[in-house]
Amino acid sequence: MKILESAGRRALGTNLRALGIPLIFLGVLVILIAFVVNTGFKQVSEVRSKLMESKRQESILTSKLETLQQGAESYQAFSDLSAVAIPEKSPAAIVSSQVKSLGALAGVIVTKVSIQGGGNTEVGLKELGVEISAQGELTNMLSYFDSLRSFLPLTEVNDVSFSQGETGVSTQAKITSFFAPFPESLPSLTSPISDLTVEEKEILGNFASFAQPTFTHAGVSVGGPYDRADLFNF
Amino acid sequence: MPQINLLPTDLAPKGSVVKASGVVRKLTTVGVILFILSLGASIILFLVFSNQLKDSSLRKVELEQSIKALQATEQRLMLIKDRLFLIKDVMGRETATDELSAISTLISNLPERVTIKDAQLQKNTTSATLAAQDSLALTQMMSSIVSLGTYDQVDLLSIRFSPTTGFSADFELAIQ
Repeated sequence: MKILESAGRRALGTNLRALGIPLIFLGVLVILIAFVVNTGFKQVSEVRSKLMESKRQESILTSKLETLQQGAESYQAFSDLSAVAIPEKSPAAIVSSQVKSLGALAGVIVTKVSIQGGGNTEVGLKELGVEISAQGELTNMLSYFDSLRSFLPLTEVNDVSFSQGETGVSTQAKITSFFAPFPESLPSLTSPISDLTVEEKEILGNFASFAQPTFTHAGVSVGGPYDRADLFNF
Repeated sequence: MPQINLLPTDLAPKGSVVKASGVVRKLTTVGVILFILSLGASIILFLVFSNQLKDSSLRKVELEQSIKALQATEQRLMLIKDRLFLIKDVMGRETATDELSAISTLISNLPERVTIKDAQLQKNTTSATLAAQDSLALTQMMSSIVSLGTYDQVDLLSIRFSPTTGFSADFELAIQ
């Protein structure tokens, strides 16, 4: 009986040895594969995603550079026009001057120009209300109305009333002009930019035909103190 | 000399175990080959991608330097874009500009012996008083306003007659 039990155990050990050793090798292989998948492929995947991101940024930068190189000349003229259309600071003096000079050109006497608003505290687009009183011939007044629609800084006509008197037409008009601070910072270097669209170029192109301010900012040169002339020794 | 197996047959592994062992060994062999191939591919891919990343980074630095050299141009473009955003906002607003254009057309096309006495132009609406010297002029005036087609809605609010000045008509006109 004991001999039979001993023989059975030996047979079991032989079977285990025959199957166990290859299974151990297979197990080690599975662990190695898991390690490679977990770390090796992860590394490759990370480098690949970094490469994709780098290529995406490279593409944006290339496009940005092309846009800037191609539009350099036109941006100069358009930026000047757009800055005149909606200036950085209150255009009260410019609008007042424009309204009067356009009146003179149309043969209309501008009797009063009053300006309201233009506070510098609000953020974004700021409005400047302008009230105009004028007198003149009807045909001249119509021409003046036309010119009020097309001058820079950009202005919208809100209310116009006129009445025919014995000496001509007297008019009161309320117009609004606008201004806004210039942007203070550029977007990040890798953020995409787009060129001006055809519609945007048309808008700015139309402004070129608008009446533009005849005077602009002139810096006052600093000088002196000067020696006073001796009035008693000329 | 014939070989004689002196081991008892009970001590040899079973036939099914030997078969299973063979299958496992074959699987292990195939697995090792695949493992070596995939490891090699991973190393090659890693090196290729790293090299490409290095080249791309160098090109990016060059592009960034070129763009920085054009910073003044970029500032101009940003200014234009900013102003255009505001300009579109302003241009999208309702104003009395169309009314101004319409009243100019109306006045330019008024028949003789008809004059405009006064007008108030606001966003979307125009109130005007027209004077006609006689009934014929009044008829021509009405006909002129309607046939001109400048206004989509013409409301005649009142008509007055004075023997000294003739007819006077108040209108409310709207462009739609």
